[in-house]
Amino acid sequence: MIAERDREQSRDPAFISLLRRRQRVRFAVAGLLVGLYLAFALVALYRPQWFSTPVAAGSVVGWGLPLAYLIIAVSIVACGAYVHWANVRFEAEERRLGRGSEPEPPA
Amino acid sequence: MSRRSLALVGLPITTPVSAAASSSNPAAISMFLGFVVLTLGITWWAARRTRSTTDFYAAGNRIGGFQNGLAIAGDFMSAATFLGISGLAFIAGFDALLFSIGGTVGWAVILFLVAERLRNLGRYTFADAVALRLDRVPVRALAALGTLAVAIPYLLAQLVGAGALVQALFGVPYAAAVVLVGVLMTLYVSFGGMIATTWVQIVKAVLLLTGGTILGFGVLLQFGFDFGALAAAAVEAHPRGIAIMAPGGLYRDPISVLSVALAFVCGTAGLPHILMRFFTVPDARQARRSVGYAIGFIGYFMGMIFLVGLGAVALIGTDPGFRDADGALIGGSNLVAVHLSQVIGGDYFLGFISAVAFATILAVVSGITLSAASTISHDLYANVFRHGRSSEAGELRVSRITTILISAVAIGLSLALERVNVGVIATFVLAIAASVNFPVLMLAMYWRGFTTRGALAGGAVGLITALVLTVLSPTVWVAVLGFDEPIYPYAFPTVFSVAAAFACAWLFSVTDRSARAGIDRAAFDPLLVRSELGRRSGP
Repeated sequence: MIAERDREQSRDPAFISLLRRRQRVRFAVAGLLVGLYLAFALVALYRPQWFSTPVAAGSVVGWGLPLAYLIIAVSIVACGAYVHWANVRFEAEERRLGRGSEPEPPA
Repeated sequence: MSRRSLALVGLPITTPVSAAASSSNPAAISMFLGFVVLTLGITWWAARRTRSTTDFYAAGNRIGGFQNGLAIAGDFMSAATFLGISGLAFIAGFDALLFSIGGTVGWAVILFLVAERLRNLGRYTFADAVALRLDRVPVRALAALGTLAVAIPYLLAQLVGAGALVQALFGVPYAAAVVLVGVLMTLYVSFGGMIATTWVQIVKAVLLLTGGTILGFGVLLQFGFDFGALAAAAVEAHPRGIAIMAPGGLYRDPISVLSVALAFVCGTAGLPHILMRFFTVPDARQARRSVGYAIGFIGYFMGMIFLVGLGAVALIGTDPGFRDADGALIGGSNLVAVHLSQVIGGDYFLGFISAVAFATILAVVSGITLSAASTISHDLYANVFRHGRSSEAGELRVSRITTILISAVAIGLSLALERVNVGVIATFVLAIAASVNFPVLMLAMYWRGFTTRGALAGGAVGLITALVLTVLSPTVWVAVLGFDEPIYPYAFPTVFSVAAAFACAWLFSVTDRSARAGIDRAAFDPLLVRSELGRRSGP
């Protein structure tokens, strides 16, 4: 019964539209972060001199180090933004689709 | 550093003076005892609240997003992360950053691709989500195999690491240390279930974040908050000099780098004790929030850890006080963070960090034990052998007995395999998680064409490939088995094993013309709705 109603809802244009937008955001941000990580790893591998170029004259600290910290910071900010955005935007739509995130019934 | 500090890290060194002092760091012992008393109190409290299977496996779905975020971060910030990555930074410098970033980005992938859907689909184990659309019995058996292939070796690695650490820190014999950790984890899990496991993990996460912060800022304080001066001192002190600030200390080939990346990104998302955490919150919204918080904590901690490693190079790198008669670092590179705490904050802080390191192991082994017990009692006993007809009380009893059995097996193995290389096991565990659990879970949640046959083929091939390549790699074939040349030249199997798992899962799904395949594919649409919107409450 429940499965049948879920199957019905899977054809609901409002659901399909919500799903598309959600997927786009998820894959875009996940792809961006993984891409940054891979790019960092590839530069470390093939152009290590870029990362060891000093950030300031006379410093032993190369550009790679602040960039690594930047990628970590970007990951945190991107995830925080997604959580906030999903909670605000999608929750409202979910409620319109009649579901919302209510506590599930006891098992 | 004086001989006294050597004694405080508790290592058997040559003079009688130190031998007398080796078993007494009162600060460490009292702080550790405080932690044990507190966590046993939590367990007692949790045991009174653990009545149903939902309480035991999923803390009654009553953990909040923030608390679960701390617990998730705690699960990920294991002793391997804390001591291992700081040790790696101590040895290899810059390349340890690949781990710091990998750990953080891996969590982002979990947030975007796994957390919400898994929460909506599953109840106690990740197999719940997979078994919703695929053939229940074989798929649960596969997931249980994937879980145990991760949990048992991981437990072994953590216990062996714990034994060595406690031996080094408190001067307790290895066997006694392993048994102590083992008994405590059995008590937490069998009596307090997920409620106790979660709160122990939260307490430990707070302690570890505090310790990491003090270490990191302590290092900076030593150099007047001048990062350049810290880096310069590290370069000065390290035998490889300026090379530690540049890439290349660990990996020089693309396969290794990519394998590490895959192990982190896919492996973390396939660790059963981490996946279980998403079931402790009431809904997908809280699951999402919990990962959001977790990433904040993890990213911050990863940033601190590298600082700790660099600080260790600068502050203890050349100090003969931390080296034994042969010039080797006492306790190996895994103890650099502990040594550093002595430099930063003296005996009390050393005691604090030692106690925190021990608490970390205790909390993480509890989570792993619970994941192994859950898969045996929920996936194998209740669903495969009893076909869902077991009583709740029966399942709960089985899960408690299983907890004790698993702990006994893990303690026995750790006592027998004291010399095992913990790093190799950690690698292997992540590889299995990435090559078996991750592909099966992801494809079940995201690919309409996935079938039971594809899941079994992909999972089996991933498992076998990861296993065989690990055995043929330099870390086992050469270092353990003593052959001259490795057959597989890379340390990590993940590039090939993950690709093989996905490729076989795809191939055996698209060519699947069985009646079961029709059911598997048709079940995707309703599952998609449920994975996005949550369980339907009404009829």
